[in-house]
Amino acid sequence: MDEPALIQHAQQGDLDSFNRLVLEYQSLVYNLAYRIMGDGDSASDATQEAFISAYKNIRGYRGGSFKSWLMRIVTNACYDELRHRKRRPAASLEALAVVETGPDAEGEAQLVSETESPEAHAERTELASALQHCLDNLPDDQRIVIVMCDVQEMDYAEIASAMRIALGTVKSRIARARAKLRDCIQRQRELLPSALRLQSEQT
Amino acid sequence: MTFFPSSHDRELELLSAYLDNQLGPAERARLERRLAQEPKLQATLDDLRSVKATLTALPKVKPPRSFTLTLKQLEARGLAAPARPPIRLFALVNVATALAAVLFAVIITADLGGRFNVAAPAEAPAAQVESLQVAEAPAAEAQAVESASADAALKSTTETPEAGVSMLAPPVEAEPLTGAPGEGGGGGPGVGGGGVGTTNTGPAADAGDGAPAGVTGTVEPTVATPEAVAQAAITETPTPDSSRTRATTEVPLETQEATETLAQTPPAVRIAEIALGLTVILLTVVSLIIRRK
Repeated sequence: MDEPALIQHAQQGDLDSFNRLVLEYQSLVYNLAYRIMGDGDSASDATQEAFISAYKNIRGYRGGSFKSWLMRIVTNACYDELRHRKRRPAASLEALAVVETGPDAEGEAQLVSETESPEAHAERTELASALQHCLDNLPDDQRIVIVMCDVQEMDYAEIASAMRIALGTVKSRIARARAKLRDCIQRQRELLPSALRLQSEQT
Repeated sequence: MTFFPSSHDRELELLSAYLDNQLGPAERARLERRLAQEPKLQATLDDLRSVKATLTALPKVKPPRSFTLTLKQLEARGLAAPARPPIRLFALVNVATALAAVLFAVIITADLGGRFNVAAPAEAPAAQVESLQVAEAPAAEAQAVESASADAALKSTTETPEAGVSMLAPPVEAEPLTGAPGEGGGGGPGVGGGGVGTTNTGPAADAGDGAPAGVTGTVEPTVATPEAVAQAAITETPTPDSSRTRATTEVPLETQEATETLAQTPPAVRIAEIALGLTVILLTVVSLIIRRK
């Protein structure tokens, strides 16, 4: 069944149709949440909350890009989770500790591994860990737009729609986020020389 | 505080937008000319491109589980009931509202048309006819009116004292009605107003002679009480009061009819009208609430 029909049935309360939409988008939603939140547990919580919120509010969906509508709900769920984390300093420190030591075992195990050598896998994992650390140090607004743009590969208009911000704001946030990430990666260059060299050579 | 981006920030925005293919052709061409001439700018672009490529190359993370929703989860959130819009209820309420509105309109129309005037089925129309005849017919014809209508006249007059007072309020010329004395009932004595019948059983000549007020002309707009009107209708002797009551026949007949209709609508019909009106309002409000949900 096509997406508009599934959405229409879901709007009429058909849970099966809604769950088919969940299966279609859960990877995208979880990945966005994972890169924004920085750890698997928080990403799972945010993803689940996002889909429950989507089910609750699907009758308010008035057409347009369903992906953008869903991404907006996910980012709101992530914002809520981040605010919740800030209100609990202890939990925040725990999350920070996890980030400092790299992705948790569960998250690392979940990384999609193609056919690659153990060395290449280790290098890629190391780079991902460093990048995630740099992402986590960005302000929330900048982190969300840069993840949407460079990780989820959404265009500026989609991001503006999902975040309900102006196109110019998207542009400036992405530019600042990239500049900060560049500085962060350069600071970690000694830790990850081979990975960064590899990226530089690729470009 | 207003944030003014520095030239460095503007350059970063320009380079970043260039990487994402968000520049127009002219701006893009201008930037490419600068990049060819400024190695430092080109180096910055390369750094940003490297960051973008690194982020894009980040491996996709496989969701640890399925996030499909279960009824149990929804029950825990109070969302177990399907989010199906109450289409049937909405349609039902709309139909009920329309029916109630139509019924209300029919009853009101019938009421205003006098269909429910069951309290005085024969007398009231007779009184109206007589009033009409007295007002328009020549004075001689007034003698043909039966004396029995005096009862109806009395009844209707006593039932609507306010109407009697209001009808007598404006100054009225009495001359046309009084006529020439002694012309065989031309004076038409004993004619009541406001649906008041005629009690013209006395000698016409006497009536004409005995009506000094009628001869004098203008009747003062004094208030005639229902008792006075009734007395004038019952007594066969023409008096100045009878001339005053005669003047009331010139008041518009529609007013008289409406007054009688209101007075004669049964209470049950009135209650039904109010109940239906309230039902229509209530159903409309319910319909609006359902639509908003």
